[in-house]
Amino acid sequence: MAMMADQANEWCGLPTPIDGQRLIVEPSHPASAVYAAMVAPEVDDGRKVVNIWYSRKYKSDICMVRKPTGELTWGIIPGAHHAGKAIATMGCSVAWSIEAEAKAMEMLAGLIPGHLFKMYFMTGMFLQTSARSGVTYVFRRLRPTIAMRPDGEGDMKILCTLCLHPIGYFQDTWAGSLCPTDDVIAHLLLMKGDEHLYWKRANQIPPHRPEAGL
Amino acid sequence: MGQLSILSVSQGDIKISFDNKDAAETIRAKRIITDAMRRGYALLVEVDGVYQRALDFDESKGEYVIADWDPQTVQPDLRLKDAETETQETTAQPGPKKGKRGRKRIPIESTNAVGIARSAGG
Repeated sequence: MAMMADQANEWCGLPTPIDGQRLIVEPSHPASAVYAAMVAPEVDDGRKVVNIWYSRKYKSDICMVRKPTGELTWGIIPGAHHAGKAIATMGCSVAWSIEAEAKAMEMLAGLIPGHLFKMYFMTGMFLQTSARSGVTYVFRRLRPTIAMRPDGEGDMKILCTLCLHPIGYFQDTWAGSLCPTDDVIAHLLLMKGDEHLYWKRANQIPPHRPEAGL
Repeated sequence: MGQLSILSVSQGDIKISFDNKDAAETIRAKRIITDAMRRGYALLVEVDGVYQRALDFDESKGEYVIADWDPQTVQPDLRLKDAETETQETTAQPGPKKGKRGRKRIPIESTNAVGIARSAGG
């Protein structure tokens, strides 16, 4: 993909697609239309979605659909299965190179104190509290970032998890097109440099949803 | 010498160093930054050890344009209650002034920056 990007004179690179895995690329990327065309178009069978809401009981979305005959029916869109999603995420590792991850680890080591880098190296996570908002973030490799703040009773309350993948990500996984530590760096620097923009660009996932990765 | 790292796919981060001795490379680098801003990249510029998002980029002068204001910090509630006299003493200090909401220019050769693409979702 790097050679193809050089030939196309594309400085921002071309995400590596994976067979059997849908790659979602952000719209302003020059090749986003090419990646979108790799997916078979959805067949329109005349059914229209009337409403969708989340059920805590089923840990899934409930979908109301109107058939072409006018009849209303409903169904369950299965929620993310944590183990299944984790295994699919592991499969996306073919899209990254060890060299890219090593570069990213080196960069991250220069951005955070030594004890936090050691924490990340050992556990895949580290904590940072924003001096601006007082929100504490748990930055995690290959999982959404946890945002929490004190609840006033000596404990921490999880506000939500923040999911953001620059350039692209693989659907139904926690994997992005960037190597895992580059995704962490993106979260960290956006939080530090423009926290408002970070919250604006990220998907805010409620902590009770399986997609939050908690 | 200033450097711009752009988080990228495939081989990892792209590092662009701004070397005034290589005019062609500097012109190419400036065009990349202008293109990145147009595509919605967030350019985080390191200023005095703190990262700030660049609001604009002046290609002709090779300068990042960032907001010029004092950083705000969370102020704890320091009010104390005196049980004997039932008076309240306030030791909370007023927060720092927001400062003038102007713009500041930073030459690309003198600072480090990181470019982050728009999010595809997640």
